[in-house]
Amino acid sequence: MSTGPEPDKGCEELRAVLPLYEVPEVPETFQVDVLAAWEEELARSSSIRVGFWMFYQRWFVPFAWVAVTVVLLCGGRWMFFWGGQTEKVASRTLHRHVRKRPLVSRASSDVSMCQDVKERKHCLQEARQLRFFIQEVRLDSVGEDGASLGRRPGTIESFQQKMLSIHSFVDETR
Amino acid sequence: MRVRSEIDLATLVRAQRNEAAACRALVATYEKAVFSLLWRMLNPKGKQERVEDLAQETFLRVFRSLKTFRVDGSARLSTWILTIATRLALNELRKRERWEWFRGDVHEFIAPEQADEMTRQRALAVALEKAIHSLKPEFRAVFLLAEYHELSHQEIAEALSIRKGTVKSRLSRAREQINKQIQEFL
Repeated sequence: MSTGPEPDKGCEELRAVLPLYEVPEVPETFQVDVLAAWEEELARSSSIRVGFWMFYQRWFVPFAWVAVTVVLLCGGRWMFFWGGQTEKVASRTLHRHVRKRPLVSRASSDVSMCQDVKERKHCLQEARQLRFFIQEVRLDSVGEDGASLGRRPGTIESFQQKMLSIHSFVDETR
Repeated sequence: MRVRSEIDLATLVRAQRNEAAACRALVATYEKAVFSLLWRMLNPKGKQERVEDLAQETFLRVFRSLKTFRVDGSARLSTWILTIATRLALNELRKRERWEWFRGDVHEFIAPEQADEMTRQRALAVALEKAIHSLKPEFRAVFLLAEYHELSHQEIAEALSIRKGTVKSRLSRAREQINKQIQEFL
């Protein structure tokens, strides 16, 4: 338990004049205002709690079952078709990748010519990412003729050659 | 030494259960201390309603957290409530620089050698008010809690989250500064 302020003989004079600094009386309505505000806050929090509980009971519980059923059905359908779609999706992804990102040419030819260390590092990182990507989607499954990519056979062939040079470059620099 | 009033244990427990009568008793017991602390911290100068708002906010925070107040703990309820009020006041002062500070020289109001006893007292009161409000908010909080609300150094240190040594040095410097400013009126 505390024992009040520590004694200080040097400030007796000061303490004697402290009461001169008066403050106004607390307004008469203050107590009523505080309690009214508190009751209002209690009522509000109580109504929020009750509202949440009613929502939970009436809507959430029944509809949760419906939502779970819909998710399971959709998920099942997706799983069912997934097997047949894999190769097509993989081809499409690879196609997009080859078309949109100039990784192949940069990684296969430019990387060896990079003088700047930062640039070289960046190319190397891209090459690694690309190799990882190729491994993931299994380039072999795309087909030799490149039909599934919508490219001429030559494009795919040159692509594969470039990939080989990337592989060896990555291995050398590892 | 004045003994700070505290509500009894039974009332406190009932207030923790949100019983209206106990809550009313709690406000009645501590409203004056809270109001005067906030008033002296903020020196509102015509903004009394702001002090009332902060006093109300203090009590609402007290009620919100009252269940967590440990009846068997070492802290007194008054100290705990004054801590909340002090922190609110300090936040308010940090937030709002536009409080009008009382910076005028006391000599502008009255010259001590010309004054009779009544006006001398008045001048002293004005000088004291000015001196307290010339303190930095952190120093003022320490001074007010120690001198007007009789909190111990340890209690002030806990209330303001500072070390006991810092409380002592701030209090000493605050007293020194105030004494210097009111000396000629004593």
